[in-house]
Amino acid sequence: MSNDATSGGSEKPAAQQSNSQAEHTEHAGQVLLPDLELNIERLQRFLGGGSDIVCRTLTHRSFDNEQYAILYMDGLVDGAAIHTMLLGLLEDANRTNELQDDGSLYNHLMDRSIAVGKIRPVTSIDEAGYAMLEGSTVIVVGHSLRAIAVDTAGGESRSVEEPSSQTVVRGPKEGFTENLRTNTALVRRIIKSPNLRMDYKVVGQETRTNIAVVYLQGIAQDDVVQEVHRRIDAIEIDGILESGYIEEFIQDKAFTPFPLIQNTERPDAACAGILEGQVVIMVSGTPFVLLTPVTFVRFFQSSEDYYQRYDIATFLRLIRVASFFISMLLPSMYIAITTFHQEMLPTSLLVSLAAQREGVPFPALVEAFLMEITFEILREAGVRMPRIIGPAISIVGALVLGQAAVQAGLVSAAMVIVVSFTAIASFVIPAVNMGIAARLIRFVLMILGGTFGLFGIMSGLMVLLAHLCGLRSFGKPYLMPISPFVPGNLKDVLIRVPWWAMRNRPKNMASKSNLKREGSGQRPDPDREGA
Amino acid sequence: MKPAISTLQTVAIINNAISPTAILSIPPVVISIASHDAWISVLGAGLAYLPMVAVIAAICRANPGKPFIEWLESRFGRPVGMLIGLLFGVYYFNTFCLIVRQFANFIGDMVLDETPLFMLIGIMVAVAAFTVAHGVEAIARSSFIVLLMVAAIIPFSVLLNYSDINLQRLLPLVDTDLPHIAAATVSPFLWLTEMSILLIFSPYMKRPASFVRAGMFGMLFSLFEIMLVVVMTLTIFGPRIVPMMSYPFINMVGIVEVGKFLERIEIFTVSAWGMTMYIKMAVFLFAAVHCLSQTLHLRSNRHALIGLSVLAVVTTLAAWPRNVEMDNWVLYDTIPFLIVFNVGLPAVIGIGLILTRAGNRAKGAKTS
Amino acid sequence: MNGKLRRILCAAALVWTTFIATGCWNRIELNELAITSATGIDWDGSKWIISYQVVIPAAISSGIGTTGGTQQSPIVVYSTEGRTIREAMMYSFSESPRKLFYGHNRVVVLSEEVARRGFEELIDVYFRNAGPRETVSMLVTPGSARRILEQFMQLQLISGDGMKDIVLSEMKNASILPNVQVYQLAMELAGDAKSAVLPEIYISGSGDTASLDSFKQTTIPSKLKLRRLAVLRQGRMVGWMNQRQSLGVSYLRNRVQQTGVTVPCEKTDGTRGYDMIHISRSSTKLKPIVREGRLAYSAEVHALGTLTESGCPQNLYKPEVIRKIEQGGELQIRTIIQEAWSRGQQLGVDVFGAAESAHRKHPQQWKKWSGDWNSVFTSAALETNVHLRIARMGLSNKSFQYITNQDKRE
Repeated sequence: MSNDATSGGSEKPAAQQSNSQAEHTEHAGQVLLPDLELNIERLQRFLGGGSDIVCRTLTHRSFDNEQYAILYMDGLVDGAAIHTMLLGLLEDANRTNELQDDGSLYNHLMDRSIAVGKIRPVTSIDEAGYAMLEGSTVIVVGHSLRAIAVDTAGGESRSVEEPSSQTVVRGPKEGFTENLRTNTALVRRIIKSPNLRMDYKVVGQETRTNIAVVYLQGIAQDDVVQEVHRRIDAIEIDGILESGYIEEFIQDKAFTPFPLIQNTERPDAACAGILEGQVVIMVSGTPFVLLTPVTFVRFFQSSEDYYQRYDIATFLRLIRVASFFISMLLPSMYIAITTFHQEMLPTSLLVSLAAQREGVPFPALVEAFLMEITFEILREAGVRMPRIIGPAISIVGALVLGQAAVQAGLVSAAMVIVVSFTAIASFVIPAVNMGIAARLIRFVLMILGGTFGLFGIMSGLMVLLAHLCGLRSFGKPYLMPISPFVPGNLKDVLIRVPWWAMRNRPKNMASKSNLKREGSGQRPDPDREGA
Repeated sequence: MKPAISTLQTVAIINNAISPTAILSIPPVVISIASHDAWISVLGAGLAYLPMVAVIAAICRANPGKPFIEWLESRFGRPVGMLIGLLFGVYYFNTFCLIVRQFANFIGDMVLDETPLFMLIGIMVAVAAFTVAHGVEAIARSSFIVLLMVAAIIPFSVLLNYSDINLQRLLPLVDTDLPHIAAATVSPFLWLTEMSILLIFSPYMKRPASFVRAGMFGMLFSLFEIMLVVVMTLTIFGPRIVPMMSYPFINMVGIVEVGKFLERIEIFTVSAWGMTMYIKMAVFLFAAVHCLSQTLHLRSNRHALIGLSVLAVVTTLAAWPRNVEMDNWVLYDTIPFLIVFNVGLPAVIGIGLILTRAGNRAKGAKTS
Repeated sequence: MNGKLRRILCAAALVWTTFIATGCWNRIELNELAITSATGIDWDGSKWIISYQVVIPAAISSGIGTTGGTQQSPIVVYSTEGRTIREAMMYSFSESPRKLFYGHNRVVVLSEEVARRGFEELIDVYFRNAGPRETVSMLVTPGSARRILEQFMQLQLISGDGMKDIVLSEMKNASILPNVQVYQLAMELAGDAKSAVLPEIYISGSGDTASLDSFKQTTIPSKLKLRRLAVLRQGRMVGWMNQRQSLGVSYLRNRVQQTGVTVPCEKTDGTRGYDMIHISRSSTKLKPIVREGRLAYSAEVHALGTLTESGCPQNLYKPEVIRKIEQGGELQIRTIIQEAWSRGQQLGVDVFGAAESAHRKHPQQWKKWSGDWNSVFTSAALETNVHLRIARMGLSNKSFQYITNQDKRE
């Protein structure tokens, strides 16, 4: 695999298509012929001849009225760019120029008349066709064996908006969009380093989705970068619609509830990862980019942690970790304690819980399952239903299922409190996929807690611990700074120390030879000279 | 890739291989023999065991990094290696069954008295096997996390019991006669010999130079835990009623009452302790599977693991119909086993190494 | 092969989960529990009679929310009998719709008969079974233990809880009677002196407060009260100590947290008045001394107090006045301690921890003494040194009587 790391921002899908293109055997090797009409017809046939193919034929006055055609897919191109290009071409076509040395129209167009920055020659029908599918305009020249692909990609796309899934109080409000080019630009605007590498790939035989692998040369570990390339290149699939497709193909272990690859919608979060040595995988068509390798604790870090002061950030982070455990353990603990270890409750609490349970027909386990599943249904309904009927669901959910169920004696009030609190706690975790992991584990622990009490929960946690200890993300241990124990990296796990104290990049992600992140002795000190 | 475990993780493995059952079983035994001088016995046992740490570390150092049994085979020849491997395999398997049964008895006594024993044993063996299936690194890492947890819990439990501790109960010093104090050292000494598990884990260590350190700290930390529990039970309950309790460690946590809301927190302590117990089970099951598959030259550990696990469930259920038999087994019948496998066999291997080294050198001298 | 193995394992796991799903062996729902808040133990000469005070959660919960009184009694009491304690408990299943749950049992009330008979069986039950707590407080009552459980209490719906609260609050604020938990009792009875103490609870007043109707009046017919200290030797009760002696025991055992001491003083007309000192901190060191081969003890008490009431005309600006009150307090405390000591010797019971301290200090001689500790103890003299410091005077510097009598003096 040739990764054109040095070419920087230029997009060269053609160089990397060889293997996937080989699938299209019927068109393979169809070189352009020196016949304009035939070429246009072949090209239209290649693309299926839809009504969105625009073909405009021009005649150039200076070259014996040689004809050439401009072809593009309507809607995939940037209208303004087409307009400018056409204006230039028309003006050029009507001018009588002195003939060039080699005298070919192709060279003339290539060198002198297209008012667009990025052009490249194409030599075959399918190459030209794929270029058009990516939004390029193809100029087919009458007698030439080559055509020109002009990058006019554009068309309708969402503008940069505030990310909807990961909001912050303080911090940048930009989010990634579905457009790969916009996304790479967002990252480049933050990290203006010549070492920022963007390697492009195309995955998916039918969708031909563009993928960018972004990292900082010298900070990201080379073996990780190579491994990312190797795993992405190994993917064989007809289509990639979202980065989730890639994630499932390249994660280290298939059967685990825990996310082994982080995703984010925030350019600042992606850049923070890049600066710590993570490799970012951007997929065209989705605002969610992937970050890898990742550790368990990463999922509890919000980008806001680094914008707020460290004490606030530490407090918030502790709350998040606590919420994770609450959302995973609280219902099972409640079941275990109220049905196995009643002696642990204070007497007054036990008496009031027992009073609430008078007349509740179901065992605590069934009661909890009932409420948990009700809540999950409500949550799913809240996500799926049209926005307009949202309030209706909340009324039904809160009043009918909560209050009425308690009044009807179907569930105890304490159980409703436990389930609601668990639900709220599960939304505190910044990474949605980690929150879902906690929710799934919750049900298993509930069964264990309901059959074996705290012993069951403990056994479940032991299994979980062994599982977590065995997980790896791109070869890096998942529980990294905790086990294997890396004391130096603990500055950003449960607590976040001030920026001036976090002098090194995380050892497990950043390249070993380039760990230092900041200068020493930067602790603010008003008495220091010059301060 | 060859799995690598760090020195800290090895310390955690050794500690978790010794202390979980030790803190449960040692206090009543030691205190019933040596009364309020029990802690001197425990300390004495620790001191007495120190030279053994050096012996085991020396054997580990002689190993160039091959798995234990494989190395023995290459050193002493196939039959000797096989014999030792089988012996160790049987020993570790036995110990595993013992631990499982001890844990199951405990859970049955404490909370789940109506749950059938086979369910408890099944779950325990399944969890241990699951951990082992993840390989030595996962065991080492989870072991370390559990050790961290224990280290965090110790100050809390000392703090919670602080008001009940009366250090005067340790006085007068050396009130028991020396033969009794000496007799009481046997039990903690035997528990400390479990440190020989290092033989199995040492080839996986990242830094082979730190065997002595790992062994020493692992042993010392376990000694510290045992001491702590012995001293705390002594100072809280006095020497007279501790021998009556099956699990004084639990009674100790059980009497904690902070205000009206924090009572009976022993279930939490039991849970934390249960995690260390699981690690201990995983460590011994790993050792058993390791020895067996090495000896029989099995290509994959998985079949050995499943087979041994099923066998363990049956053995554990059938071997001791009454809990008392099991307790007696733990206290008396295992003594020769422990001595033979944790002291005797390493010593024999050590002697063998010295002899063969002399032989090797002589051979080398002849050829040169 | 691997896939096959995985399939087999999956099947095994499924079978396993069905096993799990069917069995919930130890599971017991909250509304299947009869929460016992107090247990009473009586002995009819051949059988144990065990009484349980069971909480009715619904009655209590509605009582919390609504303003009016509860219609239903929050507790119910019933008894079963058997030759062993657990046998009696077993028969409880034939009359209780719910399983008795001892995890929240707060107090065990023993009748005096049981205390005099001995109750090693009870302690064994507590240590053998995981259900009941070893931290249960023990009380002795002169009459029937069941009657104590039947009484309602003011301010506390569950009287079992209330009894424990009284014991704890008394221990903290008056320090006359200790809170004795089962494991502590076991320790003391197994200790060097083989003796222990238990607080007494009794019903003061006439009749029973066994009906909620009693609370419709401002005065309830009877109350549960703590009074004396029961003294046990070799597991059997041998006698009572009154409140003064109990306080003396508390001083000697260094169990005083807060208490008061009343000091007599002289009024201007020559009659006797009293000052009150609130002791906020006190520590005692009981030291065994061997004099000419005989064992004696010295008790060193250091107490810190606040003057809370002055009953005589006193100018508290003067240090010598304070010193005089302090000396009076010291004398009082000394007398209390000596009374307790001689009562202990009279009963022949070492409840002061004297044996332990002798064992610690003189391990060699202890071997000789331990054979006949009772006679050694009864002949041992006690020397008491009390150092009382009145650190604070409260908010007034002169007694009110001093102000009113000032013109007389001038």
